[in-house]
Amino acid sequence: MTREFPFPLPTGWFHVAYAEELSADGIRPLHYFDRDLIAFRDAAGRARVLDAHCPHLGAHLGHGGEIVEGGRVRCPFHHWEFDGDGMCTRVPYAEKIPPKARLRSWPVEEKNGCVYVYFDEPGREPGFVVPEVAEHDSPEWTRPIRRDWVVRSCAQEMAENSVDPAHFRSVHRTAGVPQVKAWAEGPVFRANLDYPVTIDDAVQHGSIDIYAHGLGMGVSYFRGIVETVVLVSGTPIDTGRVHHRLGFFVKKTDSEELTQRVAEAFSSEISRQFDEDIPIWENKIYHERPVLSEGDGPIGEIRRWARQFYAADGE
Amino acid sequence: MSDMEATVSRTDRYPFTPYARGWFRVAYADEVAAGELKKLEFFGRELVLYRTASGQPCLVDAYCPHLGAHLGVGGEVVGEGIRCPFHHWEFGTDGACSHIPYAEKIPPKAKLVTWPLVEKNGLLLAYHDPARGEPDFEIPDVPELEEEGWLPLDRNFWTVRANWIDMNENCVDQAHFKYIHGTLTIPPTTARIEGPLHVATSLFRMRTPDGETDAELVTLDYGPGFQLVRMGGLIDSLLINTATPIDEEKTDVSFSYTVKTEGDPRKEKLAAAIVRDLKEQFDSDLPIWENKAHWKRPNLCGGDGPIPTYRKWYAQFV
Repeated sequence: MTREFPFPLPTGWFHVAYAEELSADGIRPLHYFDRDLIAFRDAAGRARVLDAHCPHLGAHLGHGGEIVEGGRVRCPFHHWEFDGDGMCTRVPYAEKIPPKARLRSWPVEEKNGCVYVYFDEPGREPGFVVPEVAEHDSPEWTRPIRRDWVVRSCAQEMAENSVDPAHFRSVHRTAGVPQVKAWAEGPVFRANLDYPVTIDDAVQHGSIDIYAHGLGMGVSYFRGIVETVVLVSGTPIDTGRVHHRLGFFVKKTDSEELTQRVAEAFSSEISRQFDEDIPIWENKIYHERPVLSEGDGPIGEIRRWARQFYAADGE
Repeated sequence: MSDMEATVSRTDRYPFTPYARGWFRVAYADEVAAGELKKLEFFGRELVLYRTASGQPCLVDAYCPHLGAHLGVGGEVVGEGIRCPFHHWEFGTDGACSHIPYAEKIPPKAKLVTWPLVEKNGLLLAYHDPARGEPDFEIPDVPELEEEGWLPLDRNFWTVRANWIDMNENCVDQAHFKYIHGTLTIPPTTARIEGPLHVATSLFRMRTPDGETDAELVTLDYGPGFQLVRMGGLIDSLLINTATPIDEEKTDVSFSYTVKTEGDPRKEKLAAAIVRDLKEQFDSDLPIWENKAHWKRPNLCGGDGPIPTYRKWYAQFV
C-alpha cells in the first residue's frame, strides 16, 4: 500500500540550489516539482532556471549541454541554442527558427546565498517575495552551517510540526511543552514558541520565532539561550518527497572558538531533532479531520493558511 | 474464447475481492513476545500487532486517530496498551484512548480500530470481514500438535503474486497433480461443503517396495485463510497452511510441515524426503499461480475434478 497525500504541488518560492552551486560556465541538472529542470548563469551572471528537455527532440540540456557565447545554453543533441528566457536563438543548420522552439523559463530570485524558483503550475506571476535574511553575509554572524535531507513526506505535513507543541516532549523529549502562538498574515505564517529549558538547575526561557513564507521557505529566530537564525527550506521533489535544507547562522561572540563550538552544537541538536521527526513523517497519514484534544496547538490555522498555495483552490 | 473473458488486465485478474472474509494468520504466536510490537501489512492496510506486558495479543489499525502517525514505527507497548510515538497518546486493547499526557479530557472519538484476534495452534489469527461483522465460524484445534511422535513444525514462507482462493483451487484440480507434480496417475478427487468447511479427498497411487498402494490425502479448508492437509499411506503427515492477502496482488503464504515419525530413524529419513518433495511441489505450482487468470466460466471437461464444488464453497467468503 502506498500512502498518498491529498495535496498537489504547492505554489511558492522554493530553494533549488545554493548560489555557489551555479558556476559561470556550467549547467546544473535539477529535479524538483516532479520535473526535470536546468539551472545556469546567463552572460550577466543571473541565475536562470529552464525546463530541461529540448523542445526539438527531447534531449536533456543538463547532460552534455554547454554554455556558449552570450551565456546561452546549447543542446547536446543538435546544438540548438536557448537564452535565459528559454527562447531558441539559433539552429545551426536552419535559417528560420520554429516559433514554438522555446523552453519554459521559471521566475528566479537569488537571495540569502540561495537560488529560489517560483513554482506555480498554471504559471501565474509570483504572489509574494522572498525575504532578505540580514544575518546572511553579516560580519556579526557566522557563515552558515548547512544540512540537508530528503524526506518522504510533503511540505504541509512537515510544516505542521512547528505549531504542534505536544510533539516536542514526546518526540524530542524536551522538558516541557512549549506555549505556541500563531498568526497567518497573507502568505506568511508566523508562530512563536516559548519553552522552558533547565540549565544547571535554573529554568531559562528560550523562544523561537518562525516566519514561513509560503510552504517552501522560512526563517526561524532562536533567542534566549543561543542567538541563532535558521534559514529553512523544503522543496518538493515530487508530491511524495521533499528536499529539506537548513542553514544555521550564529551570532558571533568575542571568542571565535566558543562561537564555533556553539554553532556546531546547536546545529547538531536541531539536526538531531529533525532526524527524530523523519520516521513519523515518513510513515504517518494525513487525517483530513484529526481527533484533536485540548493542548494541541493551532493545527487548524496552519492548515487553513496552507490552502492558498494549492492552485486548484487558491485565489 | 467467445463466451470467455477475452482479456484480463493485471490489476483485474480475479472476479472476486482480493480481501475475502475469514480467519487469517497475522503472525506465528512466537513472533511477537510480551511487550513487543510488529508492523504488518495485510489486506491492503497498515496494521500493528502487539502483546501487552501480561501477554495479551492485540491487532489494531496502524494510524493514530489524532494526527495520523504510524504506531508501528517508534510506538511502544506500555503496560496493557500501546503508545503512539508522535504525542504519546495511549490506547488499551479495546482500542480506546486511555491517556493523553497533556490533556485532562480524552476526546470520545479517540479510538483505534481493533481486529478480532485469536491465538490458536501456535498462530495469531485475525478475522477479516470487509463488512466488519462478528466472526461466524471458528478455527478448530489441531490435535496432532498435542500428540506425541510428530516432528516439530517445519515452517516455510512465500510471498506469492496471486490470490490464495485461486491458488487453492489446486486441491480439487485432480489433473494438475499428474501434469505439474508428476504423480503416477490422476488422483480421483471428491469434495464436499460443510458450512465454512471445504473437504477435498484424493487417492494417490504410490509405488512402494511392496508394490503399488493408494494413499489418501484430505484437504480441509476453514474459510479462505486456514487449511489442514492430512496424508496417510506409508506414514502420516500433516500440513498447516495459511495464506493472508498482503495487497491486491500479493499473498503471504506459510506452509508448516510435520510427519509422525515416532522417533523411528527410518521414518525420519522418509519424513525428510516427504518434506523435501512437498517444498518442491510448491515451487512447481508457483509459476502457474503467478501468471494464470481466473476464468469465471472455465471450459471444464470430464475428469477435471470437483472444481464447481470448490467455487460454490468459496463464494460465501467473497
